[in-house]
Amino acid sequence: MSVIKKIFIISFFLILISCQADKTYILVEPGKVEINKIYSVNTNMKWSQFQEREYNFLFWTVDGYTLQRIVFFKPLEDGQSLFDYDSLFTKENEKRPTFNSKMNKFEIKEFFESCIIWSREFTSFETTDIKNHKIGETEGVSFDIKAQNELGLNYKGFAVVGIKNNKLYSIYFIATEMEFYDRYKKEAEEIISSVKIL
Amino acid sequence: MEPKYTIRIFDKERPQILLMPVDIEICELTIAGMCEPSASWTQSSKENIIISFEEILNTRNAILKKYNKNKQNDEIIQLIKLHTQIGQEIINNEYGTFELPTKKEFNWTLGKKVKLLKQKNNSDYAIFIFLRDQYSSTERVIYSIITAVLFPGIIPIGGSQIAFASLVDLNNGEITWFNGYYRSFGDVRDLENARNTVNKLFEEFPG
Amino acid sequence: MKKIFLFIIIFLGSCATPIGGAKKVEDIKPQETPSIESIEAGLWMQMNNYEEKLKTSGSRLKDKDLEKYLKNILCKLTIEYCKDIRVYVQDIPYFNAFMAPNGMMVVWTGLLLRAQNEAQLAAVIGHEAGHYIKRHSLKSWLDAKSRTDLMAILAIGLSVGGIPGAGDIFNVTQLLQAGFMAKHSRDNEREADKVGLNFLINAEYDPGEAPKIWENIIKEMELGEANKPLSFLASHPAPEERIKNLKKQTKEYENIKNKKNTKELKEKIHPHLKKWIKNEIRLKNKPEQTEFVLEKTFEDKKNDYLLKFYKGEIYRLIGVKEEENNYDKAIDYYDESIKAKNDFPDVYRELGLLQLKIEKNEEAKKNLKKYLKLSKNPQDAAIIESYLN
Repeated sequence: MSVIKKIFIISFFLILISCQADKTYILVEPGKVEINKIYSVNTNMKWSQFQEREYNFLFWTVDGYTLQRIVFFKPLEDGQSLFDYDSLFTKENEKRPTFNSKMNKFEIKEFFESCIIWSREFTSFETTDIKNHKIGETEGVSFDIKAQNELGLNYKGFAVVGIKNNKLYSIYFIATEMEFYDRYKKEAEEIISSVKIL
Repeated sequence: MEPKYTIRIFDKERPQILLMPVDIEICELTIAGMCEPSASWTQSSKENIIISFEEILNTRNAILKKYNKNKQNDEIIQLIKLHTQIGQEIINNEYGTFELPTKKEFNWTLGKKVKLLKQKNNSDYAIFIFLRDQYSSTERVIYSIITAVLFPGIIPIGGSQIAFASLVDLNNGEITWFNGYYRSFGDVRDLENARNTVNKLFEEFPG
Repeated sequence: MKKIFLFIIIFLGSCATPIGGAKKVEDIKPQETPSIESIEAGLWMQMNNYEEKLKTSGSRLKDKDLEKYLKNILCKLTIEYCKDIRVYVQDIPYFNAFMAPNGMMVVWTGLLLRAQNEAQLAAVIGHEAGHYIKRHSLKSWLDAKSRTDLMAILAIGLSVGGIPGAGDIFNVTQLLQAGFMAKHSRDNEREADKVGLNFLINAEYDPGEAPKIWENIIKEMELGEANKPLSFLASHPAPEERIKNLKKQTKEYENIKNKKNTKELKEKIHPHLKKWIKNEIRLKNKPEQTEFVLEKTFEDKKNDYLLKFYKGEIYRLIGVKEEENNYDKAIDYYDESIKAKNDFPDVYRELGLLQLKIEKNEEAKKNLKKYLKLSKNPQDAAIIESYLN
C-alpha cells in the first residue's frame, strides 16, 4: 500500500472517530412518516433510521443494514449517480453510471442495477420481472432483486424507480433470503406501495 | 466488552452442544513486519481451544458434539453464513459506536430453519467460535475497521485481534449467549494459556 | 563496525537477485505436501482456509461443469499433477488467472471471455501450473522475507479495492502477504512459460496459440486507457519480452498440425456469454477496447449479428454523454445486425426503444411490434405495449 494511501486511511479513520456524534440512528414510530421532505410513507412498525450526511440515501432497518433494509434515495438530477461519494475502494469515479432524465423505463432499471453493481456491495446482483408501477402519481417501474454478497449469503428484494420533473426517485427493499426476507416482505411491500413523492 | 446472554442455564439436563467448525488463524510476526501464517500454531491452538471448551462444558454437565460436514446442504450453508453476518451486526450493535434503537434488548435469531441443524446433528444448541490472532501493525487494524464500516458485511480480520463466540438454541434459532473481543485476549498456542483465554471468552456461559 | 555490518545486510537485502533460501527450493513432487512445521505449511493452511471460503463464496461462478472442463484441460496437460490442483472460476470481468501455493487455481471470467480457443486457455492453465510445480509463491515469499521488502510482494493492480471482488475477500491482506498473488519475478515468469509450453506441446495443442493470447491482451491494453494496465499484466511482468521468447520457442513447432479446439470452449461458456458481455460493456472502458474484445469473441462469421448487436449496445450505453453521435452509431450497428440475421428479437427491441428517444416514432413502433412478435410473451411485454400507445 502506498504511503499516500496509508495516510488517507489513517486520516479517514480519525475523521470517522471525530464525527461520531453526528451519526446515530433515530427511531421511527409507526404511522405516517415524512422522509427528508422527499417522500411520505406509512408504516405499521418501528424502524431504526440512519443517514450518513455525505451519502445520497437514507435507510431503515430493524436488525442491521446487512440483514434487512429499506433504502430511500435522494432524487437524482442529470449526470448524478446513486452513489456519489468517493469511496476509498473504488477509484472509478469517471466510470460511475450516470442518470439521464430522458431514460426510458428499461434504462432506469438498468441504471439502478449498474449503480448497485458499481458500488461493489454484492458479488452478484440481478433484477427481474419488470412491471409498470406508480409511485404515488408518478409513472415508474417495479422489479425484483436477487443478490449475493462475497460471503456467499443470498439476498432477495424489490425496488421501485420513477422519474418526476426530470428527477429520478428510487427506493428498494432487500433482506437475506434466509429468514429475514420472508419476515419483512409483507411490511416492506406495504411501505413501498404507500410511498408518495412530496 | 461484556458477554450478552438471554439464558443463564440450559433448559434440559445434559444438553448436546454442537461445535461448529472453528474458524481460526494464528500467525507470527516476522522481523520484517510480515505476518507469517503458522500451520502448526493454528493446529495446536485449535486443539487447545476445543479441549478447553470441552472442559467448560463438562463442568456444566453438557456434551460436546462435533459438526458433521457430510450432512450439510445448501440451506445449512446459508444458515451458517447468516450466522456470520448476524455476528457482524451484533458486534456493530453491541460493541460498536452506533446502536440500533430497534435493538435495545439483546434478541437475535437465525429463525426456525435451525431445526435442520438440530435434526442432522442431533443437538440442542450450536456453538460458533471465530478467532483471528495476529500480532499486527496499526495499519492493518485501521484497514480492517474501515472495511467493516464501508463494507459492513465483512468481518474485520488481519488487524484487530478479534474473537467471538455465540450459542444458538437449535429449537428456535435464538442466540442465547454471545461474547466478543477486539483486543488481545491471550496466547492460545499452549494449553495452559489457552485455558485462561477460553475461560475468559466463555464468561457467563450458561450452566 | 556494527554500522558497516548493518549496511551490508541492508544492501544484500535490497539486491535484485533473490537470496535467503530461495535458491534451495526444488520442484514440488506429485502429491507432495509440506511438513506441518514448515513455512510452506503455513502458506498452505492460509490458502486452504481461503479455498474453503471460496467454495461457497458469492464470487464463485455457479457452474461446476465449466470448472470440470478446465480441470480436464489441466489433466490433459499434466497427468502427474492432476490430482494436486483444483480449478475454480470467479465471476470477475477481468483477464486474470492465478495459482496458490496449495494447488488452488483460480480463473476469472474475463479471461474465459477472451480465450479464443482451448489451446489459448491451455496455455494460461499450463503456465499457472508451472508456478505451482516450481513453487514460485514459496520462492517469492522467502525472497521477500530476506529482502525485508513488504511492498515488493503486494501486487499492483490486484491491490485491495482496485479490482472488484479482490478487495472484499476475507483474507486478502494475508493473501497478499502470502505472496501467491505476488508479482512474480521475470525469471519465474520465464520458467512458468517454459513449463507451460512443454505441457502444451505434449498434450498436442497448437503451441502457436500461446503467444497469441498475450498479443491480444497487449493490443487490448493499447486500445484502452493509458494508465490502466490489465490486472494480469500487472502481476505478470514484461509481456512483450515473453511474447518474443514464446514465438522464438514455438518456431520449431510451426509445421506440426496441432489442435486448437474452439467448439467445446464456446459451448461451455455459451450460457454465460450474454451476462459476461453485459458486464464487460458496463465497465465503460474506451469503446475501441470493448469493441476489440467483442471482435475476438465473435470471430466466427456465423455470429456476426451478435457482434453487431453488442457493438450497438456499447454506444447505446454511452448515450448522450459525449460530442459524438453515439445514438446514431448504435442504430447503425443494430441495422447491420438485422441485415446479418433478421429474426433476433433483442435487436428490434433496442432499436425501437432508441428510435423512440430520438422521436422516429413510426419506425420505432414497427420495430417494437416486430420484437413482440418474434419473442412470444416476453416478460416486458406490458411495458412495451404501453410504449406502443
